[in-house]
Amino acid sequence: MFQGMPPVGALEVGHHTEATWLGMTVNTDTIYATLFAAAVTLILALILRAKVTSTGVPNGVQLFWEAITIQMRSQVQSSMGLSLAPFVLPLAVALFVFILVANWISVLPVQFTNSDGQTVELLKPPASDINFVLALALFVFICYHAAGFKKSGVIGYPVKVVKGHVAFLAPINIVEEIAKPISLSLRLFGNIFAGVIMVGLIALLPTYIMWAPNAIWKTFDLFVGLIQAFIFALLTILYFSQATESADEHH
Amino acid sequence: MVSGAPVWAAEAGGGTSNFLIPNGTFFFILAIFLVVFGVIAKFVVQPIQKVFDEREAMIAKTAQDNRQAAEQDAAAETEYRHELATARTKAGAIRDQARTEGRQVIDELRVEANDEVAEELRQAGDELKVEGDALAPTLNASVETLSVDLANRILGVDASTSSTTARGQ
Repeated sequence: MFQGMPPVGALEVGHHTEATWLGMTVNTDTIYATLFAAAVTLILALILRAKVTSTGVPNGVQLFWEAITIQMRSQVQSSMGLSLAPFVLPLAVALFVFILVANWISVLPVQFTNSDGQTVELLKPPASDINFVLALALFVFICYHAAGFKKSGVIGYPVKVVKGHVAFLAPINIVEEIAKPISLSLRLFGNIFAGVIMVGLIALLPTYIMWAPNAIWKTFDLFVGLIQAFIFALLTILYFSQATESADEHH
Repeated sequence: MVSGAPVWAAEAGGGTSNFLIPNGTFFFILAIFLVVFGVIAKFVVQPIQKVFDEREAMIAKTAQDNRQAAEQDAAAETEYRHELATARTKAGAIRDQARTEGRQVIDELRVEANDEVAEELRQAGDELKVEGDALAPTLNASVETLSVDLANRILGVDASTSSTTARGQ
């Protein structure tokens, strides 16, 4: 029995297909999966663009976008108001849908056996690559700080961020500010990366029993992917609202 | 990859790159996301917000139309009631007037009829009187003859002579 068990090393973690583009080492599998997610998102966007209607009966794609926009708009309104930073709403919608589609790639049962005899997913969820989550989180980080500078001024904003509500908490505020992009990116990365490892572990089970935990896990993975996409968008909105709130406003 | 070795050891030791260190992929992902963000901001959120605005405007317009219609309805109702009351008053006045006029006409006609009756009665009386007067001499003339005749029949004797004689005496 022990003999038939595959070695743990068969489980490859964080392995990417690499290539050199424009003089940089890139993980092509992540980029292809990201392009796939982007294509799905863009197709949905273009379908909406072509069929959008305000007087007729909206189709399914429009209802999908409307539901997300309403949800995100209510979040933006409740935390900061729509007028403060008008691009927060599209950013939140784009992040949510893009991350959602990217996460749900993981349930596609497309696997192939590579030249080393290992079974690998054709499209791994891009969020299991640190580059994906860092790109999104750092973009959000830069954007909300830019919004903060625009709101409170070049001097006023850093003072506000460091000082917070009481001056002696300044060190904690600085740590918190650094922790924001790290936690934002690593939360998504950890959840999705764990999902990939779980699928890999389940794949080590014998074939006759493997299907059951696989089905259960992938169903749960759908839920995790949705929740993480939502949390990412929600935290983006919250960070924006913190960066743009007035100094005399006490919460 | 060393078979059987711990996963992390295999990665950290055997791999040329650490998968937790970002590489050039970062920029490509960022570029892809910026495209997606741009498209969604331009082609999704803008039209959807326009749809929301238009829908809100439509709802507001419908509500306003409803209010206006209710106001017009109320105004029409008031006007109707007012018109009805006026018409009732007018109808009552017309009825009273008609009644008065009718009574007047009846009275006039009654007076006229009474006059006519009186006139006719008078004429008939006159006619009767004239006819009576005209008949009276004739009848008076025949009274004697008739009386004699009657007496003759009753008495069975000729009384004409005696009467004539008596009268002649």
